[in-house]
Amino acid sequence: MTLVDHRAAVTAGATVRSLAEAALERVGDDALHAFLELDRARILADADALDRRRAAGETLPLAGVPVAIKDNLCQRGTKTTCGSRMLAEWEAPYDATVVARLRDAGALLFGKTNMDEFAMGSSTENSAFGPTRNPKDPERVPGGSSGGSAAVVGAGWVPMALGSDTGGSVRQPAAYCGVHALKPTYGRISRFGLVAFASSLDQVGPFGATAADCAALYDAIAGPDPREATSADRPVESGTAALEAGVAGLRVGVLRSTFRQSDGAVAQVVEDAARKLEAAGATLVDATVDHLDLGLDAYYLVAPAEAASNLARFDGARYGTRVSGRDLADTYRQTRALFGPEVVRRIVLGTYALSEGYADEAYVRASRARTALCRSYARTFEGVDLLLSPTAPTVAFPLGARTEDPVAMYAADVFTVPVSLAGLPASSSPAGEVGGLPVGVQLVAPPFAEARLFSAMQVFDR
Amino acid sequence: MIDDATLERMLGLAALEVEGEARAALRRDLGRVLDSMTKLREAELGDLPPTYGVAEAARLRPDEPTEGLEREVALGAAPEATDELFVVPAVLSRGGDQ
Repeated sequence: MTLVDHRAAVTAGATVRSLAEAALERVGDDALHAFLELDRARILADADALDRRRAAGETLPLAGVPVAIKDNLCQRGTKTTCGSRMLAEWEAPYDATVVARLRDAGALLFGKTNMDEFAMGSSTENSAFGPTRNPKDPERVPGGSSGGSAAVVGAGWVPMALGSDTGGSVRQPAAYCGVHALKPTYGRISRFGLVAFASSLDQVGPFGATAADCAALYDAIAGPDPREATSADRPVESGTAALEAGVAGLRVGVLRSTFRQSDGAVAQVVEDAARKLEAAGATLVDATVDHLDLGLDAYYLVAPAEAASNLARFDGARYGTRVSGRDLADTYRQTRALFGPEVVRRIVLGTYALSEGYADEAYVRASRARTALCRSYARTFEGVDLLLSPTAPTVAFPLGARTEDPVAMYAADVFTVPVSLAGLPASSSPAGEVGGLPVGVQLVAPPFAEARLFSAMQVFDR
Repeated sequence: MIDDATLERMLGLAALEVEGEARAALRRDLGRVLDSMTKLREAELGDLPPTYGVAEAARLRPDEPTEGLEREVALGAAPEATDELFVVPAVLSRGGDQ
């Protein structure tokens, strides 16, 4: 069911409660393990409250549609675990701005979704509470880190979900689960209430079963937030309004190098997607972004460095779980032993990247490569309106296939991380399938041109 | 590669304790990740300055009081607290004899 279907049902007289009950029935016993919390009683009580708001004559843009929330976004009164034992029992005392905006727009907050611990991962296998399974093939990963959110939309349980994207964490799972997702320009959507991983990269992003669903969710949450210092003070162009604009006259730069780095069948599906844009009126041109191949190395130094700093707050003193030790320093160490292996790996890698003697060749050098990337994108966008590539070089891989090899796991992000380093908006849309598994096409736009992305994403739903 | 003394220093800085097999695996994985970064090591970056963030100019909100988290709510989330304070193991001895 899409938002359009949901609205039609509500207009035809269905209650939000009846639609919520139907959604809960679709989820059943959550065979994908996509939810970390699904409080049926609360969801139905919230649905009743939305029905009362409607009965009182309030116009609700999202009409009570169920929206799942990644478990690193604070939702007052629910646990916000970040997929970590560190926060296993922590209840958010306030709403993230995006959650508050969803409440205002009349969304039904529908459960907290599974994720890689503290959003560090590309498969949701790093969740302390067990992996999520891919809705198209339960023996495969849903991608990550927002794997739970992608899976619940891909399974058709709910039409929309919120995720977060630091290096590809909404786009790559969207590709693996066959749904749409958007990572906004850095600063476009408030992160107030998003548990920080890498602050110069983290963004909240919407998932949708269709481009229209993704756009409606974006419209409800985007825009300036006085409580977030990096929030851009710019008006937001409606994603929904942009859906019908089409792509006629747009110049789409095809990043050929990314096709060569991908599985042949994946590249062919994305080639066909490019032709679809051409058939809709876009002009395809070959494009290059210099230094694109530095993205992965730079990202896996910059993001861990920021994570090492951000995760210093988990010391067992002010919130979260405490494991008592001999003294304060030992309490810190015992408490921080709750972190899973990937989080430990990144904190140590980040500490290394920032340490005296290594920082110049690690963090600083990676940040200089970031400058090169930012400038290269800016140069390329002088000649094109959008850039196109596969979202990921392969389809979803089997559970367990990459858990022993971090370098192979990180490679799933090779096309998404350069975009994050440059702070640009990007989308992933279903382009087709290989062997029954979804393939995503990534589009990248210049800063704050999200509307242009929605115009193009819509083409893949036709 | 990363030697054990370096790993020990990093773990100390990060207030982490990893021993035994997990430590060997951590050292091996960190080595693999760092060794894989050949492109960055070999890149010709000239005199490019670093970019540490991509936000537009920091925007300040008006200097007016706004609602924040109530003290009792903040303290309520702590593993141990009094009515006014977070409680942690003592870091100083009472008698000043250390």
